[in-house]
Amino acid sequence: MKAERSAGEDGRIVSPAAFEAAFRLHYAPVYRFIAGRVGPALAEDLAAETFATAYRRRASFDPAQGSLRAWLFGIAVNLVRGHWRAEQHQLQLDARLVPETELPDDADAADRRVAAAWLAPRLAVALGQVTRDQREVLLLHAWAGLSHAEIAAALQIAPGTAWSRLSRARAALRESLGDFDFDLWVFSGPGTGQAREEPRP
Amino acid sequence: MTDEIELLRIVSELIPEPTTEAWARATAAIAAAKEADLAHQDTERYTADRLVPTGLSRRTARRRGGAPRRTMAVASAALAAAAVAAAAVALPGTSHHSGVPGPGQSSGPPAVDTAYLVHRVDGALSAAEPAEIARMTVTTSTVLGTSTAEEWSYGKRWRVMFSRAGKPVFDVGVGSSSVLTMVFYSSQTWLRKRGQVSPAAPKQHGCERVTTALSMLFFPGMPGADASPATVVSLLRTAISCGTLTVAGHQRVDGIDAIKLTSSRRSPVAETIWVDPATYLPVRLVVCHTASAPVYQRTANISWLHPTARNKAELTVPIPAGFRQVRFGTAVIQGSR
Repeated sequence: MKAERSAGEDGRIVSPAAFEAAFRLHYAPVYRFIAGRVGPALAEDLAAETFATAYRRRASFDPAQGSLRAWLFGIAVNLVRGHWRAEQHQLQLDARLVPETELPDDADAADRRVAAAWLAPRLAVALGQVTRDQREVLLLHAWAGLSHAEIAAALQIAPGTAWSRLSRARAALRESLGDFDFDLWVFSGPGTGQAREEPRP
Repeated sequence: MTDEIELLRIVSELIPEPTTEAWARATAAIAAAKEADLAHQDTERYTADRLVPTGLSRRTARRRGGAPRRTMAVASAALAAAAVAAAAVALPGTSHHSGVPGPGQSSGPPAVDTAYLVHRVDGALSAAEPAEIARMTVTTSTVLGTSTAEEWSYGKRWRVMFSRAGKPVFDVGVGSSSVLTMVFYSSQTWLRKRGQVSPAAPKQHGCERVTTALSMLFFPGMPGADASPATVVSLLRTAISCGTLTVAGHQRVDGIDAIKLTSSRRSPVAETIWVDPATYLPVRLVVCHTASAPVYQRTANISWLHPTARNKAELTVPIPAGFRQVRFGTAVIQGSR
């Protein structure tokens, strides 16, 4: 597995070279995961703190307990939890602003990018309607690409709990998306043009 | 057929990669952690040596090994800090209230106080015609380049023509019978979908959200949020009375002695709005989104037009000859694989 090749031969990251390799491989995905949740400005701080924390705790990382990226995302998730208001604020912004995006030369990729920009505000509204725990597992799965087992390791919960939480979160998001047509990629039906109230903390 | 997880993954493609500054900041944080770690190790060794003053040769060897490592860590931290500074210098100007015209061109102190302005806006609000057509030319500038969009909005109907480097990229609009039409020039395809289709619209216009709610009216693809004159004037009134927009003098914009309004420094979206003193409708808007990477600035020049047959015709998205009709999501997903 590519992620594990960043670690030392024993899978640990105690040596400077192993930690450096882990940083180079995992920094960008961790940054983007955080930036998607709290915005790029705060993400710089939190992603930096994630790896500073990882360095301080590097001796405690045990490959037998889970993958390196699950461990790193676990640290990131804990840091993001302390910025709940920033995440809410980011969701409110995302729900109201069509994001600026660079269009690739490839026609299909460009269409896909336009579609993403088009859908982003509605998806932000839907994400704002699921619970914090549900949002956490959804984004660890979709954005960080963690498996059920890795989510369990990152959140330090039982694998079965991770599986059921993700399952419920997916159902909740689908419910929040309402009448979204997954085939046509559009919202249809009456009353879909308005953002719904976000749940109170 | 896609699902909600794939939807999340597709939208996550919009999240920017870390900037050079972000990499440098993380490198500096790790270097600082390394330095603290080494300093802690030194302290532990020193304490251990004081408590157990044996093994002099081993202790000396450790100290000889420790000092250079610590020096290297400090040097690494300094280099990383320098990289952060260099990256910050390399980034383009990010002044919070950059606008057009420039800040130095303002023509003096506020001539209208807030209470009076709110009173005048109330007058304009009651007089606002409900069915004017808004035509906006929106220019977006980032470190990556400049793009333009021409937007038309008339009640629930709207159209956005987006172009880059003078070439059309896409044309999208919702017509009178709530039919969405999208034309993609890159792939020479188009689609049509019946039913109410609109991006997320602002629901609350309270003080907390009014600034972003106002700015979003002028973003490409967002006129579906109803940029009617009454809505816009109402948002302006709320923003002024809440203090999220304050009067910053007068400036001439397209021959009009416009009132200049600027947003609070605490706002994540820095706005400068020039309004026509006769109608209190905005004639120019500059949005600088400082929290994003790369930083971008949007300038919207706005004309308010009468709903003549010719102007209403501009709200219709034409399908260019030879373009192929597609089912939107399916085509995009399949094309990406």
